[in-house]
Amino acid sequence: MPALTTSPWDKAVSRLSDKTVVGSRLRSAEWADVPLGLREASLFSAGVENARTLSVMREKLLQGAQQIRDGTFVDRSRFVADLRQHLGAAPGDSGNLADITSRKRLELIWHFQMQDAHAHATYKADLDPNLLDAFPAYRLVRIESRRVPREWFSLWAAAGASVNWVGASRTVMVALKTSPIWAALSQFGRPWPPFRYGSGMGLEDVDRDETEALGLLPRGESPAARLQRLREGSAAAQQDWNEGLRASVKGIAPEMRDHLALAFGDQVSFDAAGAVAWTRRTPYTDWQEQGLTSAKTWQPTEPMPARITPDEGRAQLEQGVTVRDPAGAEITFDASTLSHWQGYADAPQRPAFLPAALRAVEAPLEKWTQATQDAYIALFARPQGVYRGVVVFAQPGGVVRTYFVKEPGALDAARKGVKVQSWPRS
Amino acid sequence: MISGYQDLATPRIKAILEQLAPAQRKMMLARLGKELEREIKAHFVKRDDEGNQSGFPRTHFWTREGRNNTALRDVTADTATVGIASPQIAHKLTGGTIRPGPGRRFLALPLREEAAGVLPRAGTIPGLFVMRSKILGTAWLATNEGGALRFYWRLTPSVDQAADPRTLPPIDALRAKLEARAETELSRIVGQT
Repeated sequence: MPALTTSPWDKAVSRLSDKTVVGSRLRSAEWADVPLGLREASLFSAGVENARTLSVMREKLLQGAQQIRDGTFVDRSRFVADLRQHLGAAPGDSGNLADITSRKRLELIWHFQMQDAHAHATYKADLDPNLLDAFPAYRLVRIESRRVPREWFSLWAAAGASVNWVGASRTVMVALKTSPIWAALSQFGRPWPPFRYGSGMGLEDVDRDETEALGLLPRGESPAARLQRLREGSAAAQQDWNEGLRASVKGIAPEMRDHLALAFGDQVSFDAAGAVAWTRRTPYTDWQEQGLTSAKTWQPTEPMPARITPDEGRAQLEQGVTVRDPAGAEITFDASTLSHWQGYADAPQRPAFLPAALRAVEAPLEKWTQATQDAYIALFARPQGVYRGVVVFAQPGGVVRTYFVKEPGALDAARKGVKVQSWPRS
Repeated sequence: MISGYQDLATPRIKAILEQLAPAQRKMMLARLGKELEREIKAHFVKRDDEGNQSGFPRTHFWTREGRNNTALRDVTADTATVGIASPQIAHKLTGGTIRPGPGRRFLALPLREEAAGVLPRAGTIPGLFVMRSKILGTAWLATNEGGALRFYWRLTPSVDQAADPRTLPPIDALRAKLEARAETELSRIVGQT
């Protein structure tokens, strides 16, 4: 029997400290599209780009988990007060969940992160085959009352159908601990609670007699066969979870790669096989911290450079085109730019916009120095008052990636780094 | 660390444990520990359902402080320990005097819904000032709202809190559950090893 020292707060502290702080203005629903492996490895808060805020948040959460582990008095009210002081919150409380300084939002962050860290550790401990033998299943139960509770049985039915009811009951909300229904039930793709924000639901251990009575396990199995199956089931559940995390960050489709690169800049890195990972680095400051205005308010400085033919653009890129930025740094657009565009539906037409990409480097509105690349931000005017934003990420090794955005506000996502240089807009 | 129940083993549980080899005893104790964890968690959920006496919005103290911090911890061939990692729950169990932390002179006791569960220094209530009454020997944190005083917190150097005898489930009920669990698991463990 493996050693059973399961102080969950040790594991909870590790879980929080292993996470990479990731700033992004993505909202909760947009974060749900980010690969599970990235989400699991990150500490983020919907709509919060400011890396310093997130770093302080992680530090306070970590401190909280350590204090709970060490038996020191700690509660959410200190977390709320500390964060509000750090954020320089205005006196009063907006009560708005979208406001990162509101009491409601900060309390939600505290409870969510603490419940997640503790439940993750408990789940891992519960997969011990000896414990699984006695308590092989979980029941989804209400642990906190809510004025308007969700229809959990409907969610249960949908999740069960999506995994073909493997190891799960159709009549009551009970399933084997190793059943895929738990991850399917979760808005966050995890087999442990919380399954939704502020749900008030939790898990309760269900013993073998009840599990067998529900038909989730065979009755009268020989003890040796049972133990063997428990060991295999436990190992498979953990392996499936780990493989799911790994698979989710491999072979990222070009559209998703584009989405991630724009949303996270060089907080994410891609390898040659298209696998994505967080890049650990020193925290960036963003446009808000720098006291800059949102790109939504910008006016273009010049018209969009005229298009060339796609063949002409392709030929130039194959040969390599070098331009200088206003600080004198040379940037070469070459086959790496073409390669980045491969896989997009409009890939054959993109080389026609090469002049706009070159101009974005020659005359950007801003240049952000990031850990592994520079980001050039430009905004051009097109006919009928339409704007077109351009972001060029240039890595020192010569890899240059170019993005075209329709809404000026979308440029804000890329406006972060360790340093920014701005050029006056006429 | 404060211990709730030191020894929950009934004579029958002890007799069962004595029949087992050390590895089997450890298996049995892990299962008994898990049963204990389950019972304590269920107890905290029941307590949470009772609501709070102050009439303030629910803080779900029993679930968040109790249930969510309860877990089977260490298991050896002789003991299984279930921990409740919460000084607040320990305080409920033992009672005693609460004093402010280092560098602070007063505890702030909420008098209104908006003040419950939040520290004055969080700044969620603007315009707070200290108001003292020499006659009553009491101080408050209050605001002036259109000429009317509104009291949010009472300031006090300490609070005496009585022990809550229902902090943990009744020991007899726990022992009965554990004894039943030991009987159930005995044949499974013996058959397996």
